Amino acid sequence: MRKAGVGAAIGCLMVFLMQVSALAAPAEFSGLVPDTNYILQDDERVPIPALYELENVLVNIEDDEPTLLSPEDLFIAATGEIYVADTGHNRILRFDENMKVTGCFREGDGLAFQRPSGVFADEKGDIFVADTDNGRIVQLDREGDTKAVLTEPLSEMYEKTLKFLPKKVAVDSLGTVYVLNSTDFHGLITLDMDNQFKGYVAPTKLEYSFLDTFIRLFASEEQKEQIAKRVPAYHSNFMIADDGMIYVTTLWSKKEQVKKITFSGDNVYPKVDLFGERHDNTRLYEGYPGFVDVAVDSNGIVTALDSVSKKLYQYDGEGNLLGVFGGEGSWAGRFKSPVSVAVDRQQRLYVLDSALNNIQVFTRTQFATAVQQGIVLFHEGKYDEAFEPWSAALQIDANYPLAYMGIGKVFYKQGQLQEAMDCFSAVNDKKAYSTVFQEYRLSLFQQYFGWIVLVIALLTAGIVFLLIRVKRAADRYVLTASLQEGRWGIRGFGKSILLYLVHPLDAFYLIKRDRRHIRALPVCILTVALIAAILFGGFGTHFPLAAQAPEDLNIWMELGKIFLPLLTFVGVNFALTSIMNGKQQLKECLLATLYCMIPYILFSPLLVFMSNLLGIGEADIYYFLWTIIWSWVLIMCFAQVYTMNEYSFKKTIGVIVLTLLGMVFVWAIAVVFFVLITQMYSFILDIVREIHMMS
Amino acid sequence: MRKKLCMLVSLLLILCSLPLYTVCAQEEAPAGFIEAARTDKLILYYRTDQPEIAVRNRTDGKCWYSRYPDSSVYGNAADTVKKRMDSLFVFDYVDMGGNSSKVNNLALEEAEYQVSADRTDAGFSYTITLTELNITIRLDFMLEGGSLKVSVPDESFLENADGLEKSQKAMADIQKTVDSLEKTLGKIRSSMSASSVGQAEYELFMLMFDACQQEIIKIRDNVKGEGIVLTAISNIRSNLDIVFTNLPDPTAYGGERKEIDRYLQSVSEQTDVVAKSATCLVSTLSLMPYFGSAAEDKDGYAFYPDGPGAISYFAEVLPDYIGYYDSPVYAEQGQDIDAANQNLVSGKQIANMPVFGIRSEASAFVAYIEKGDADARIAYYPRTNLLPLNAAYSTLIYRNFYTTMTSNAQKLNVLEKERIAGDRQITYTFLSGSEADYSGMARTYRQYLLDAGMLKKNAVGSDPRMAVDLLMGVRTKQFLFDRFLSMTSFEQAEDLLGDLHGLGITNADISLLGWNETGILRSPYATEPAKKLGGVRGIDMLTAAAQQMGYPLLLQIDPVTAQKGVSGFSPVKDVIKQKSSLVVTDASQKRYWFSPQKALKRLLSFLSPKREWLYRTSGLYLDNVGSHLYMDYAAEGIVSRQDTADIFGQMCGETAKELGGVIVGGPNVYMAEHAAAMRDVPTKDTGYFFTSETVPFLQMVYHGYVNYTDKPFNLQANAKTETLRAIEYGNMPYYKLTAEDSAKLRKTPYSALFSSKAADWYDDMQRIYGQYQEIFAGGWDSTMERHDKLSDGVYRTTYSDGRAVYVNYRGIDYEGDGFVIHPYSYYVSKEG
Repeated sequence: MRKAGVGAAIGCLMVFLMQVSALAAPAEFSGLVPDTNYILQDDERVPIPALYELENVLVNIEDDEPTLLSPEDLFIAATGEIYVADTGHNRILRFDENMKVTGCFREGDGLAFQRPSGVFADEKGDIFVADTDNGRIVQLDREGDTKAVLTEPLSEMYEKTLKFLPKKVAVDSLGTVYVLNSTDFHGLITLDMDNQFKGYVAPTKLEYSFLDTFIRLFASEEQKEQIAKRVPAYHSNFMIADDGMIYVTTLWSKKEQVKKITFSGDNVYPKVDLFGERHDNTRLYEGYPGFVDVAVDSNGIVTALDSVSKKLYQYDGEGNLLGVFGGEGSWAGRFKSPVSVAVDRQQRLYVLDSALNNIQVFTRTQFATAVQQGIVLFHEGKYDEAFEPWSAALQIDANYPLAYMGIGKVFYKQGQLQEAMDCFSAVNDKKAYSTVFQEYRLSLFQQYFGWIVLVIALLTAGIVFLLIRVKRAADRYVLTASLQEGRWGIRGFGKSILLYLVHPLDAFYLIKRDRRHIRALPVCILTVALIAAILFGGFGTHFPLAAQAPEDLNIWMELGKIFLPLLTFVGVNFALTSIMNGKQQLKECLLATLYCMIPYILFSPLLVFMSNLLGIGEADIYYFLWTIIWSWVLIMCFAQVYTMNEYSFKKTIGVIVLTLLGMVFVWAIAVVFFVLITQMYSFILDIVREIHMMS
Repeated sequence: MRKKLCMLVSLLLILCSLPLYTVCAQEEAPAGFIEAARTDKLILYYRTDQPEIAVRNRTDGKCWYSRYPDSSVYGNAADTVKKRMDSLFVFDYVDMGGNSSKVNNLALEEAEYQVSADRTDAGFSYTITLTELNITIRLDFMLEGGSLKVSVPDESFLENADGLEKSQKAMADIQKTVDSLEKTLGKIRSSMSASSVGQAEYELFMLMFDACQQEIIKIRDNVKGEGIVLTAISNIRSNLDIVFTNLPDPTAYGGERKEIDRYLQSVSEQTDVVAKSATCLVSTLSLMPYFGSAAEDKDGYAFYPDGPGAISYFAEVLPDYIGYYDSPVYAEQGQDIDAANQNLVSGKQIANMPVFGIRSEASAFVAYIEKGDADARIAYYPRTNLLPLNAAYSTLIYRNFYTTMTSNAQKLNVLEKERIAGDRQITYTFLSGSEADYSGMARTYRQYLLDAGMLKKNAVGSDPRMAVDLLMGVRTKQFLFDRFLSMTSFEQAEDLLGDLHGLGITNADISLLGWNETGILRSPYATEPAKKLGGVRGIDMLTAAAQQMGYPLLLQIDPVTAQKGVSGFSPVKDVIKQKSSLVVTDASQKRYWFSPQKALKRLLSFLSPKREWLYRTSGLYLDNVGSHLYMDYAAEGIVSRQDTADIFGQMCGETAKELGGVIVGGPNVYMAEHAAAMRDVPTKDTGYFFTSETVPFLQMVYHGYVNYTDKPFNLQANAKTETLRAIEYGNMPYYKLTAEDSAKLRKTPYSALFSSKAADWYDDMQRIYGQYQEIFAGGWDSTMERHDKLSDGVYRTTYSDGRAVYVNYRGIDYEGDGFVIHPYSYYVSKEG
């Protein structure tokens, strides 16, 4: 009965500890990070210097209708001319590089445009208009005379259930016309200039939904039909880059929001977890970004426009985020309803806003110029030359991760491996670091081959020698029963550990036998040793294999991860064995459980030390060794319960299972208790607030 | 000959009298106006038939009207817009008797009003009574030299403020009276029977009593509706007349009949009280919104205090959706911490001076709020198809809204009953000739501030100074205990100052950020130097070293904000309260604003003479006091925004008195009197699409009196243009540095300081310091007199010592008069 009471008290203590730890989490003291000009690191916004600054805004134009009205598309031709689909005014406007109107086109083939939503112009100056509501593509020459009209394909291969409402159009160097039709998920329609359907390119796929699968199990036929009606996310826009690649944006997609499609239809753009950011309004398409356009410059820098956050996300060719800028607002550098983005030869970005009816032109800052030059030079293989712009970028933003990565790559290519590793570790790039580390390790191995072989040989010999000595000593302790009852000084304790390593059951028996003589010393020593092992693991693990960088390490969290389950185990196990004819006392249970952690205490430092010789490529070996240590610990836990309580094998299993369930139960209760307390607190707070307000 | 001579003399006389005639003709009162007052520079006219004024600038003859004189420009504007343009004022009000959370916007010409005009010594007054709303406002117009002062005396601004109580009492009385009436009628009814009055009469009487009952219900349900109640009373009377005239004994129920008459009379009287007590309370008043408004005028523009100052030319009709400028003065109105923070993160600027101006037809005026500036807004509406005039004006805020809870636990914004007390005054100063531009406006405003003692020469020295902020420490989040990250220890700071001295940067003001146990960003500030940085001993050594090298050393603290989880304050007692006495906090309930009095008390306690180490520093850098302004419904009494500004001023005064110097965080003009230097003085405006140009108005006011900085030079993304902008605007060269590598800050709350390692910036600092010496040496304390755009991307700033600084933002050379400025470069002419 008394034991049960102690067990319950320990349980309560656990709950209390959990609460305290949760309540003690400090309030967040983030500085006010501007909502523009940042990068994302571990989903947190880190401010960076501005990438672009506004150069010009086109508000009024010199024409009969001096403003744009709900424009939908903006295209910059190879000639540098700018074309705008002024959808609300049913016209296409052509501007020169100084944003002066040089052409206004309102009809094709004798028929006035109806809500033209897309425009493209080729090198000759021929204009292709996606005349949406008229359901046609019109090709005009520079003067506006109609050269061709493409309408809905007649081919059997063409899916006719969706009305042909072309929204965007582009033509590749071979003269193939690509058309984005409204919400058609089959992909981009390709036509030749004779209006012959050539097939779909880049179809979107229906994303797997676990929820749907789950619902299907229980759904009625009607409900299943509804689910079956789900269509894949559809493309919102596309552009054909100089190299012929088609860049496509997909609206509300959970993955591959930005794609780079080859001639064969494959997406070769790096698979990033998420392009853009999840926005706050998660009710709207689960918070996934709504990319509506993409611009790719001659250097392969990709700028994608998100209509939800009204921000521009810029990536390099490898899918690394260079920066985020823009945002909602009715002032310079901000947008209300941005619909199109394009880039000119001077790397200026043009953003068309269909609510503000303006075009904002942005130029790169010195910072963005340096960053982009670094990327381009590196990809061109000019590693030495890339160093300079990367250094310039770092001079402006000493924390800019891409610059570190860039410089790291340069160092790597130049053979300065240590410097390269420093750069990669600075930005937490484990993969790149490991690649360099492997070479570094190899070079060290080659350099100090003889010494290394000697050290390994000596170490092996030493370990073997040690193991033999330990085994003999342990055997001797058992045989000679030299561990006399009551000898629990430092020496006796040391002997008991040796015994434990070889004959754990005997060691547990020893604890049980000496229950009257056990004092706090062994518990303290083991606890301190365990803490030391945990801390060494936290601070000493090699960077690519460490879960967290030492500077980010939360000591309390690390200790909690081990001690909380351990103490819960002790409490629950003791409580259970108390009512199940167990023979252990609380202090023995605690000590024996700490003994179970000896494999961790002794071998995790060795493993941590070994991690410094491994890279991420050898992570499997490393984690396998960890699994061995933890398996050993768990087996010891089993042995402890078995020996200390003099249970049968079956009963031990039963008690262990119950203990595990009990631990889960204690934690669940703690969580519920905490939630209730929080709720009660906020409930009382609300009542007080309401009374205050009503008064 | 004689005849010829006579003719010649006559001709000469005619020629001589022509200008006089012209002036007289020019100075004739505009049609319909009569003269109210004149000075040697201005004539004030007004109309007696309708509230409308005009001011003639006698220097250039330009007449400024409160209503645009040519209504043909109105075109197809909506009637409500036309009425607005015709009105002397526009106001927002709330009907407290009705929907007390609904704001009604009304132009004077849309309301029913009576106006009377009275001459005064230097002008006249309009007394305008809004008859329907029961509001009387007196507007005093007075000329003083070249200025028109328009004031709204508080004592003459009459609202039927106690009407609400009267109305509520009358309504309660009506309900009681109707209860009594119902009882009396019930008594009469129950006393009747078919046998006593006859079957047919009895049935008729019962019908009449039922009808009376219906009317009583109507009264109960519509106590506020005068018409319904009076009709109901009339119906009750006629129904009862039928009853009493058809009684077998017409004299029966004499006492009850008198009683009923008395009740009905009482209800009628109380209904009148309810009707007359309808209480409309004014929340804002926009005075003369279209004074000086202009249609197309290529050379004309409006100036408004967006960022450093912005102008919008009146050249073209802008699209309807272009937007407008309407900014609170100094800080967001109300107590919205989230709104204030949102402005910080989005870059939206708040007016930092209560000033605006219009230039039209080569003449101009600048207007500034002299009284009531802490509760005001400044607006500019560009000309669009919907609104055919460009107009700039100020809006006076008389009441704020507060949040309350309804009986069904819904949150409701309700207008405060108490008006923000005090007279309001706007001064319009008229400018002509070369004065009639934004430079002239800035000089005029600066002179007003100097005359009023609101701007003082706190910045000393004729050589430019460099501002260096050293970030010492920051606390980072951890599970149980936070970590204090040392970025510059006191010892390292000492070495750093030595380095600066070695580089020849001898004129520099050093401030330490995050020098205390709380580190940077956390508040309330701890009062002792962080032990990890070197403690009191460390700071003592640093101050001694700084003193030896001649660097003033100031300590940064944030006396305004407070955060949950930081010790040293009570989130109940020490922070500002809402009207409901709840504390004001942000959406996450983690941020607070200090009660101004508590902030002052805390500062005074910090300035204790026992802190000897503090007295060895040169002063404090009081962050946020120049950008945050709010009111507090403290238990001891309401602290208005003006009171808060005064208390912040007092904090600066006490600091200056005790320690010597004050740097203020934030650009608001009410701090100019106290600050030796200001941080975060913007050089960029918000960037509204109707803004034509950014102008250094703020800098023209401050330069030579207060040193100012904007963004640190080490955080510039475009150094070549941003440094030029700093030179053009006369900013101090400013660096925010650390001894340690800024990479350490990457995962801290101060990650925005992304490039701060001092050693990386020494060369740059030395170069910039040299440039500043070259440009400004010997004249740093002179005032900024003019700012001119010479060409696209080329500007000239002229100082009172004749020095002119030219900057060229273009990618090509600019050829001036005998000099060439290379791309992204500058040129200084010291001869003027």
